[in-house]
Formats: sequence, C-alpha cells, structure tokens
Amino acid sequence: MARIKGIVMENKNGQAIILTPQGEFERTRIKKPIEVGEIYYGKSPSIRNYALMALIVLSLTLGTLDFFSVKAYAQVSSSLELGINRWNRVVTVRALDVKGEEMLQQSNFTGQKVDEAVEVIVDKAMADGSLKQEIPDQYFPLSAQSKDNRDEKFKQNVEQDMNKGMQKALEKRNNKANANKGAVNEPDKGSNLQKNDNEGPPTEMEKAPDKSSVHPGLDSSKGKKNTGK
Amino acid sequence: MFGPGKNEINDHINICIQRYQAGDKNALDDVYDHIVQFCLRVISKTCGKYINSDDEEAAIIPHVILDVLDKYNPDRGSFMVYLGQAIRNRTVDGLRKEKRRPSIVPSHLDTDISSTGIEAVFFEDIIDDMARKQEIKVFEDLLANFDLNFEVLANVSPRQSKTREQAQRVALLIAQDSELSGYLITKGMLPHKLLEERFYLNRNILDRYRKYIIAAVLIHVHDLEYLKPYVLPAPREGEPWLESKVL
Repeated sequence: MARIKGIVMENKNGQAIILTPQGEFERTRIKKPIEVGEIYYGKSPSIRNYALMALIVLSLTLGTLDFFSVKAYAQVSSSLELGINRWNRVVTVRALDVKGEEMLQQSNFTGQKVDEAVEVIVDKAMADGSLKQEIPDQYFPLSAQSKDNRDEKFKQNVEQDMNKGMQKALEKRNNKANANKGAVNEPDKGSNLQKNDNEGPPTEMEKAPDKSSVHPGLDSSKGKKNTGK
Repeated sequence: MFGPGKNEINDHINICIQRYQAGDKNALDDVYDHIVQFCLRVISKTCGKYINSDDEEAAIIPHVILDVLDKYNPDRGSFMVYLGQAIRNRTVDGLRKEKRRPSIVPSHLDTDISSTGIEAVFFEDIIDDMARKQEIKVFEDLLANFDLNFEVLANVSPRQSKTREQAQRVALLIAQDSELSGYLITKGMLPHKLLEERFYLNRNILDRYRKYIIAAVLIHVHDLEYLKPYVLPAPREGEPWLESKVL
C-alpha cells in the first residue's frame, strides 16, 4: 500500500477527495470519521495491488472457464452422454433418449467424478432392469471420445474411471445380493456351501465381475482395437 | 465577517469574548456558530465518530460554553483551548457514566492551560482544521463560478508529476501577471494567445489541463494560504518552455 497524505477537500459516502502535497486531487476511500479541512494520513492501493487483484480475478475467470470446458465426451449406455472436464468431472449431461431424460430428472450428475456418475447410472440401470447383472458388457456400452483426437492418454484415463465406476456398482450389487442370500440361507448354511462347491451351475455371485470382467470396450490395456478409434 | 485564517478566527473570537464579558450579551452572535463547530469537532475526536449538532453528545455544548464564559480569564491563555479542554473533559465524563469505560482520556477539568501544552496543540490543530475548512469553502465557491468542483478536478488532475508541475508553473505564471489573471477572472477562460505569444507555452498542456490550471490560479490569486503550498511548483531552473519570462 502506498502512503497518501493531504487535505480532505470533499468527503461523500465514504469517498474523499484529497489534495496531496504534490498538488494532485486524488480520490480515496476512507473508513474512519474525517471532516473537510482535516489532514488525512492513509494508505492508497498501489499499482502492484491492483495488478495482483487483476491477476486473481483473471485466474479465477480462466479457472472457471477451464473447469466448465469439456475435454471428452463419455457415453454411458445409449441413454446419456457426459461431458468431462480435464479433472475427470462431469460438467455437462445430455440425455439421448427418454430413459436418459428420466434418469436426469431423478439425479444431477454435474460436478461429480466420472466414476461416481457412472456408478450411479449403472446402479439405476440395474435397478430398473435395463441392465442385466450377468452380462453388463453386452447391454451397457461405455465409451469415451476426447475432443482432441490426439489426446489418447486422457481418453484412456476417462475410460479407466468409467470402468472403475461400473466395477463399483457391480460390486455393490453383489454385496447386497450376498447379504440378502446369506440372510435367507443362514439356517442350512453348511449344506448350501457344500452344494455350491461341488455341484450345479454357479450362482450370480460367483459370476460377479472381478478383474476379468472389465468392460471390453474400455479396457485400455487391450490396445486401440476397442477404443473407438 | 473575518478571514479564514486560524489567527483571524482566534483574534475575532477573543474580541467577541471580551465584549461579552464586558456586558455586551449579543457579542457572541457572530462567532457562536464557529464555537459550536469547534466543540462538535472536539467531541467528535473524543468519541471517535461523527457528531452532529442534533446528536445526544452535542447537548452539553451550550451549558459548557456558558460555564466557560463565566470562568474564563484572558490572562490564562486562549479561550478556544480552554473551551476545548472543558468540552473534552465533560464528554469523557459523560462516556464514563454511560458506558463505564474508565480509561479514555484524563477526565478532570484542568484550568491550568500553561501545564497542558500537548492538549493546546491538539485544540490548535482543530482550529487549524476549521480555518482550512473555511478556506476550502471559499475555494469551492470560486470554482463554482467556473463550473468546476472537486469531483471534476479529481478527474482531470494531471497524474504525472512532471506534467503536474508544468501545469502548476503555468498557473503561477498567470497568477503573477495581473493582465493574464485579470483576463482569466473576467472572461472565465485561459489567455491562450497571450501565453503562447509571451511564453511560447505548449498549447497541449493549456488545453488538456485547463481546469486544473484555472483552479491553481484561483488559489494563488485569492491568496488561499492553506492551499497555496499544495499547488506551488518545485523550484527548478532551465526548463525551456518557461525561460523567456520566469527565469
């Protein structure tokens, strides 16, 4: 802050006009009570402070713009298209059909991380039956497309996150189903376990996706074949 | 009416007090407003906030003035300092009673003015402020004749120190020359032609900072002693645009 000193020539609404010893009529803000004719000793913001403030405002503006600029689009099922920013957060959501619109009315995905949004969407899809838990890959296509086609790394990153979200949703479902089943089968737990170990088709729980159930279209480790390029 | 200087105010008030104490009960009419303004400023500074004549804190003013007029002895020093001390002490007492704040300023009414040199300076400063305020009012009225005000001056005031000094020199030049200043006062505009012919001045400065120059000339011509030092150019030599006359 630069020092300012001078005679108070006018004082209106917290703003005073000061005649400085250099002969300049300078406008300044005052907080303490001061009357016309008094000598004012105060501080006026220097150019450096103004520059700093301008820099902060500029950074905030650019940061905000950057946050809301879409770097990649992620399509979750055939119903929703998510716009993803550079921090893997959902900034826009577009419904592609009636089901998508219904889903949008029920929940707001803006601001969420991609994996969280995908998790919610998959969970809802499984709840309403549009996604079969046994074969999620087939009925629930996930794909990402970065705005800049050269940015393959970001695209893979988004795809990984989407996959993670899907895994989480499936795991959650499985855990819930396990818990329910455990409660139902508790009286004859031992015999049931034996049966599962030795005979009959595997239950849904056993088919629950582990690492091998990663969505084929999103498994970036499998190369470019499935990345949409 | 008396001039806006601090000494003029003090002298005039002292004369009026003497007349009042001699029995002329109307002697204070001329200066009463100034005395009240002074008291308001003292209360304002003591309380640390704006005080108007309608405020509760200002209610003590008439009583204190009458008290002080009865007790004041010219041999003991300036009436205003004596009054200032009385007002301040009474204000502090009032604050103590109301808010129980025991340590703002010493409270007892000290009638021995000679022992309170610092307080005397404090009250002299307030009188100075009042005198300055009067001068600013005069300046404001003078500016109004040229459709100028402080807002305008704050907008057009030269920002660069070099330019400001040049404008101040032009103003001083005009003020020192009766013909040029007479032209400005009577016609309300700068004597461009005369200035260019006589001093080879840069017309850009005259045009761009016309309002600032007029304001500075008014301060010089009307001898506004508080403001004059603020618009005097720094003494410098060897500037070609002024060589022909000033140097």
